[in-house]
Amino acid sequence: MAYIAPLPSAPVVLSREALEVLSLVDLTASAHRLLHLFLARFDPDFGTVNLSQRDMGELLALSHPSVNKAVGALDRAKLAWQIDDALYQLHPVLTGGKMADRLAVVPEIVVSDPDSLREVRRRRYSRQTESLPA
Amino acid sequence: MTDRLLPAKGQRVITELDRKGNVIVRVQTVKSREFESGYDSLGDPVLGYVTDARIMLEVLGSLRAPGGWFQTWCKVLSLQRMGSGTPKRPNTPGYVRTTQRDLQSRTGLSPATVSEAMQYFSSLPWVRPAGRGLLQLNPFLTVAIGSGDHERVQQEWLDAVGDTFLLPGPDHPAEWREIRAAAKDEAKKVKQAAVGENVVPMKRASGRKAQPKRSAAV
Repeated sequence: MAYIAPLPSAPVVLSREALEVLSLVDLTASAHRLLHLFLARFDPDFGTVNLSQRDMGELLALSHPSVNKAVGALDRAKLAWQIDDALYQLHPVLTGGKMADRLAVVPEIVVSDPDSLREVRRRRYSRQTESLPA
Repeated sequence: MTDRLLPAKGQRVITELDRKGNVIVRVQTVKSREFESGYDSLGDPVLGYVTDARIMLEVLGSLRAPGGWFQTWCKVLSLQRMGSGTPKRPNTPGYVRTTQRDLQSRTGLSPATVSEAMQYFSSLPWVRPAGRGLLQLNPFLTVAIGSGDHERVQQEWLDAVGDTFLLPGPDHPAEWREIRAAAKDEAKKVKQAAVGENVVPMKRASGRKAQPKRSAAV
């Protein structure tokens, strides 16, 4: 197993607004897990996470394709994105404004309102039930 | 392990993961947001913070649970209100005013998902019902307030729940669901036995669909 740095000792301060955002993003369970892993391990000075996808797979017991999908989901939701090899930037809303690059464009997190989330889930569920054998 | 790991008044037990994933237990003295002092399991002095958020996030990250459970937990945490509130509805740090219906409408999740998530987090316990529409968050895990208030909130939690709570492993949700399903089955059997052995459930005639229930006349 590759060396994985221990948890940083600096505190994690998640604002109520950040938690509100996290409760309204439509993510898979794996993407949620990866996001929480990022939040537990981000560098308090730069809001970055230094983990390879192999490390993520080992820490979360996920296969490489699952990790890849989860990383893609976080990227699409604009919650975390890759800035270098094995280096991911968390959205500054989640890091207390800390970013590796001080002059970067900050994307808007894709958040849905509860009603549209409910509708999306309903459609997804009906698609799943339709595909079940009769 | 030394006798220093027994917490005295004004102290708390905190867990951390080391680089190999082992859990380290520490006893720390509460000052405010910062620990005044403490000793780790090797007897070395340490400094740290009251909120064990990194551990909480690390545990959540490792948990093989439905996405809705994470959303529910984030929503509960986000509903903490600071300040004094109103005289009728005062805000108390560490407590959250909400209901499952409220959580459901705020997250767009189904009632079943919210209910199951809340039952799971209550079973750990990371949260407890403290009254009608009032939840208390585990003050050993998520709350960071002044030392006096923190001690009071902590004492309320200890009186209601006790001094143990779980940091669940990845497969704990699946095990919890199995145990819960088994308990439900058992309860069903007991109920059936209580109704009486002579009661035979009616069989629906084959090929005939169940009729929808009539709605009450207005």
